[in-house]
Amino acid sequence: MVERVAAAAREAPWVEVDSLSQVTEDICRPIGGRPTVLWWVGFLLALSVLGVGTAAIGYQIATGIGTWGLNRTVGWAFDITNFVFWIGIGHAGTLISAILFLLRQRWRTSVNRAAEAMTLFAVMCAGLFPLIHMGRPWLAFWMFPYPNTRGSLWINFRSPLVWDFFAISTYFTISLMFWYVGLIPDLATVRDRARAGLGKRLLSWFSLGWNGSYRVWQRYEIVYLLLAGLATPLVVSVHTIVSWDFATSVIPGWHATIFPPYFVAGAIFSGMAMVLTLMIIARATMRLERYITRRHVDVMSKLVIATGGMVALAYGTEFFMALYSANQYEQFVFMNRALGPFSWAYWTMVSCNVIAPQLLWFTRVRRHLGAVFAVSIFVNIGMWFERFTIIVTSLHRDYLPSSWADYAPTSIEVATLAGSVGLFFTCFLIFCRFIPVIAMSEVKGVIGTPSAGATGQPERPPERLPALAGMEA
Amino acid sequence: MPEHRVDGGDELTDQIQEGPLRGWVRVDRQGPSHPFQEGLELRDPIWKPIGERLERTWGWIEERAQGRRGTACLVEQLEPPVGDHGGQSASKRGGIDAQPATEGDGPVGVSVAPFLELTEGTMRYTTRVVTIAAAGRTRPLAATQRHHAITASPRLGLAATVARPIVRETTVAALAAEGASRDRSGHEPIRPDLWPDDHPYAHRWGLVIDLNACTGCSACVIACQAENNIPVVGRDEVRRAREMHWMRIDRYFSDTGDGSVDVVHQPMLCQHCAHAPCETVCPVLATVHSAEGLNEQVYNRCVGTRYCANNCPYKVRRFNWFTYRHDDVRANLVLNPDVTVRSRGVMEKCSLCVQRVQEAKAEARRLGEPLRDGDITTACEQSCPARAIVFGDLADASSRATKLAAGGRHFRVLEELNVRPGVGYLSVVRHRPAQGDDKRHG
Repeated sequence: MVERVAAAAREAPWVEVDSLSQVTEDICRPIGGRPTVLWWVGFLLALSVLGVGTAAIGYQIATGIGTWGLNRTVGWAFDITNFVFWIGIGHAGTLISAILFLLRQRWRTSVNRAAEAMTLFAVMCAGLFPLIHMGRPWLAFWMFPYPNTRGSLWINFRSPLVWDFFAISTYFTISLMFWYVGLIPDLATVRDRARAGLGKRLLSWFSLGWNGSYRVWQRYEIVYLLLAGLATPLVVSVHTIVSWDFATSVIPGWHATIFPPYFVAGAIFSGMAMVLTLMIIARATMRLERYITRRHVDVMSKLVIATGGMVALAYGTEFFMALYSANQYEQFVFMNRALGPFSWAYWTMVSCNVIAPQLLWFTRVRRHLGAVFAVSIFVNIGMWFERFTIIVTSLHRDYLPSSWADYAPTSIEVATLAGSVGLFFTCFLIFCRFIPVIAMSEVKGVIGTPSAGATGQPERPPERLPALAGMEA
Repeated sequence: MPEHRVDGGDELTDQIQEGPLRGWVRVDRQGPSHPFQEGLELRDPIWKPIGERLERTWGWIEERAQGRRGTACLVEQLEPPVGDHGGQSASKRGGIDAQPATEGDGPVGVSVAPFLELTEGTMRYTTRVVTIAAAGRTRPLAATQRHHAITASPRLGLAATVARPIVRETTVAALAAEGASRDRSGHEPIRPDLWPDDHPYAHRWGLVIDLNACTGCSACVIACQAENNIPVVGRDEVRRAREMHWMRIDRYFSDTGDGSVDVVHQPMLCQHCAHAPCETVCPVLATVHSAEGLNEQVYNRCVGTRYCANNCPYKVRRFNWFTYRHDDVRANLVLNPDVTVRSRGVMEKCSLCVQRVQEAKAEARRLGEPLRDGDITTACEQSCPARAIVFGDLADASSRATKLAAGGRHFRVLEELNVRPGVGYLSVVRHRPAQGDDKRHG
């Protein structure tokens, strides 16, 4: 352990700035200041797309699920595809904040705040879909196991949808706690800079009287470590449980034991891609070039290609298992996926998720922001199509050919998907305006001055030393 | 079942049948003029004048042979053969005339009553020689099943062309050979099972359907629709594959071995599985198992996740996509007061006419007599002219259904999934002289 810490200390600094106060200046600059024109354009665009989505959802709830393109054979399509897509996006946040923290990946400090915020917003978008996909969403509270006057009526603990409900609410709660605890020192910094008023009072309240003493820092580091330990199983468990929505069914194409690892790898894959998408935009628009460097993009790209490889392996394994099972229904589903009426979706998925990330083998591509951005967009699209392929192609031609049917989305479904993207970016842009996008207190632990960087000796902030010393011993 | 002959490829002797949602012309499979055998692909509706007076009477629409719209024959527009019925006009002949369409796509369903003729004391459909001509336009079909596609596209590889063991067929010779030697009592395969048999059934209601007797006439479908207040959703919703039938007639083809195909009709309804996949996945316990073996849907509790329908291997569950119209007070008088009218957003499916089961039980209790086999008839059983459907208590060794289920022809669809359906089928028996069936006559 000591050697590893020493190695980490010898590592070239991830962020090079002139002084610790420069970090505070750079990160806090957008907070409280006047938003840029670019921000306004993005915000209004996101808000109007959200408005369109809200109108579509309102119309659908008022009229019926029939406003979607579903039918007697395909009972889920865009709704659950969007749900799994957004839940998957959320996974990178927990991975970066919890697992990479425990593994002492010091580069995470530049992206963890935004990634955790992204997680929260993605889980909010995801949580929308199980609600609105119900035929009678106003009865959604029946999913709660609450005491009631309906005799012994209770929820069905055998149903994966109930497991989902608990998994996602746990995930959202822990992610929110983790994000908030990590925010406390930064909120205190913003509080100290704020002028007296409501904002300052709110910040005082939310920063819980943080005073930066050694005792406070030590308690904080321990809580953060414990929360990281608590959140780590969630990285694996949430998408495992989401995959059980499909894996525990009897439908060929869904009924597969490979689903939990396949879904978890896919979730981290899509989440890292979305982090890259957001961070490359934030870097350019918020002048964060010093904090999100090409090296950061490089390591995240490596994670993308690693998880992309796992996903590609899962695609191949699915076909092999179908062949090896000698089960004609299973074999048909996979042939139908690759060559049937939805083959365009399948090959979009393969092109975006398997072929496009191969470019990231090359260091030059990994360090080229435009190229990485393009790959990340491809992966985002591909991962949406992965869930669409799994859900729709398995359902539309299952056991009895008499019931085979096709599916095409209606404008309402497309608007709902767009609306969820609008919700995500609206939340993210508001976040960028009011909360430090980069964890200042953590970044200060990995900085080096340009001169110190040359000698490979990063300057470490004094306030973090006692806590780190306590844990690393 | 009457056959209809393709004569010379452009003249037909027709019989009209109208199902609940479609009308169609049936064409027999004789000779090379069978359009599917010829690979004939008709892209236009074809209008066939009937007799000398009417033109553009029948329409055929075929989109792509394997395409998403399927292929079928459809009654496009029907004009009554005026004068054939003693001057009676169509409107005087009853209240089943076509409703005018609200969209510009032509009439939604057409009355075929004017084509009925009184012949030898019974009403018969008109039999005429017609010719076929293209009308030059197409429209998507409202059909509940892909028509005329004998297999899935061979492009999808071997798995698509291998016949699925959904319907079992045997020959007279094979059946005779098995005959008495085959003891099927206790033929329930024993499969390892994670679930306890926690249903000590007082009754185990089930159906046995004889596929050999079924002609696919669809009387059961209509009886079920009438009995259970099932909404009629109209052409556009059928095009979106949202028909609400609790019971449907599945049609499959099988290869006869001599270049032709045989057709099998399989009435398909909720199989009332003992280990129902739908029951485990419902988050709010809106579909549960009764102590009498019924898979029951609790409309009041349903929140409409549709997970049950997705997980149903038989795809028999029906979702209320909209609030279907029940605002016509007079039309509502035909509703069955014993059956709930479902609201928007809930799932529904065959209940095995649970209202009839309850009624018969109450009556038996009132009379102080035990419930006898045959006291309960489901609507489909009652209406089946071939008596192909038998309802009964599978826990009662002396019931007709149990005896049929113990016979050599009995099978369950997708039995390998181990969902243990309460609905069973009797296999189709074919007469195949080439395979030794002529011994029967000897």
